Amino acid sequence: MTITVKYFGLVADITQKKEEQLSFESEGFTLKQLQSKLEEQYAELKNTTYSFAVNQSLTQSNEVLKNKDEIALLPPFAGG
Amino acid sequence: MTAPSNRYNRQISLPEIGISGQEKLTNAKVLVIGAGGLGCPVLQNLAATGVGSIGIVDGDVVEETNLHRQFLYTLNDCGMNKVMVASEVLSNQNPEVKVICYPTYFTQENAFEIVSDYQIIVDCTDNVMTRYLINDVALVKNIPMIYASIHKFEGQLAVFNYKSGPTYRCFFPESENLKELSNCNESGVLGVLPNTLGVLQANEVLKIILGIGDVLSGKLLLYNGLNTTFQTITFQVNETEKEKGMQNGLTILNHTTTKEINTISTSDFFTALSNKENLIIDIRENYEEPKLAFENIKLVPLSALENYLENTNPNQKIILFCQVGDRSKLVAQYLMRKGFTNLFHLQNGIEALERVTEN
Repeated sequence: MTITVKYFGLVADITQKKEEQLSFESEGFTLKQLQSKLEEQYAELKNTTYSFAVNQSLTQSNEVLKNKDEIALLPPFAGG
Repeated sequence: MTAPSNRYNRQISLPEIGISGQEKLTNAKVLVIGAGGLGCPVLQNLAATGVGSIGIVDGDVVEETNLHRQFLYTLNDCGMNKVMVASEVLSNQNPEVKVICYPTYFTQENAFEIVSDYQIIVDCTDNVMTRYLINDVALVKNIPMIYASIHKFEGQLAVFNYKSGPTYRCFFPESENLKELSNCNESGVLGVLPNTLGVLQANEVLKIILGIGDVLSGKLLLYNGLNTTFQTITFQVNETEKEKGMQNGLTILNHTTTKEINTISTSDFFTALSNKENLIIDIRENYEEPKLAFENIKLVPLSALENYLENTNPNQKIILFCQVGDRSKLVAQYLMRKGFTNLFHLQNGIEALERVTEN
């Protein structure tokens, strides 16, 4: 399956990109597993706070991802 | 009541607003926390539209590096308190609105005192911890909080706690990492971004007051200025997080409501003036009018007050007054925490005296 991951604010500063597509051979990949994978690739994410949205809807649960899902990593912004 | 001016004709012609809508705006009380990049456009728009009472909270002074995005200020204002400058500019822009000044930062100690009976809080601050504080106070007071924040070329906008809707904590649960999030000083900002977001915040405020349109509740708007995209993320109440905010808000409330400040009426004030034993202080800034010409009154603006009182006996009877009585009350509470015991403030400030002398 292929998913799109979108990065915002400080998270995009860390990943140095606004979005990317990730492909996995197996189905049944969870949000938690995705998070571990991303934190492996972008170590600084571990020290950052952000929320997850799947298909434009905030989720706190350990959701199972589906093909073509769009995942957003949303940190709070501080500036004003 | 004086006859309404022509100022609002173009908005009154909208069937969604009309005379009754304009009355709602006149009667509305909105508190804007932060008079910086977001706060300036919010304030300018609310004042121009005729929102009747606008409170401004900010302890900061104007700096030259603010001028590229904070259009209430000019080079001449550098070094002056933002709230006092903003108040003067807005009162000139629209003399029909009442501007209430809180030249202080929004803290746990003063939060409930400041929020008092405002109906809406606009969060224009530049740090995450104050946003949690605003959220928790708004929860206890059961009033909405209009949030916006920026990072480089991106902005976020949402209305939290609207009609028991989701809160700031529901989207962004508190965590240790958050305390060091950078603001515009560190990460840089192009002036158009906070101005765009501030105008959107003002739009949400007006819709809530007027009861028109759909309020951005349960949705977080994401704006990207570089590719001009808007998208929204939907979210729901997280009961655990909401409860955490409510508990924290109540704890703060219980810690700060124990000290009541003595008020003094206008007639007692005139009596007090004739007693040379009393220390009577006008805490207004030098440019605020009208002045009261009594030799017994000391003119000590806020910035100089602490130094001025340094060697004063803590049991000395002190009577503070300002323009409308909001600042003097806050300052009296502050001085009480500093150890002064015999404090009074003139209820409704010098404006109450004016009404009495007019009659």
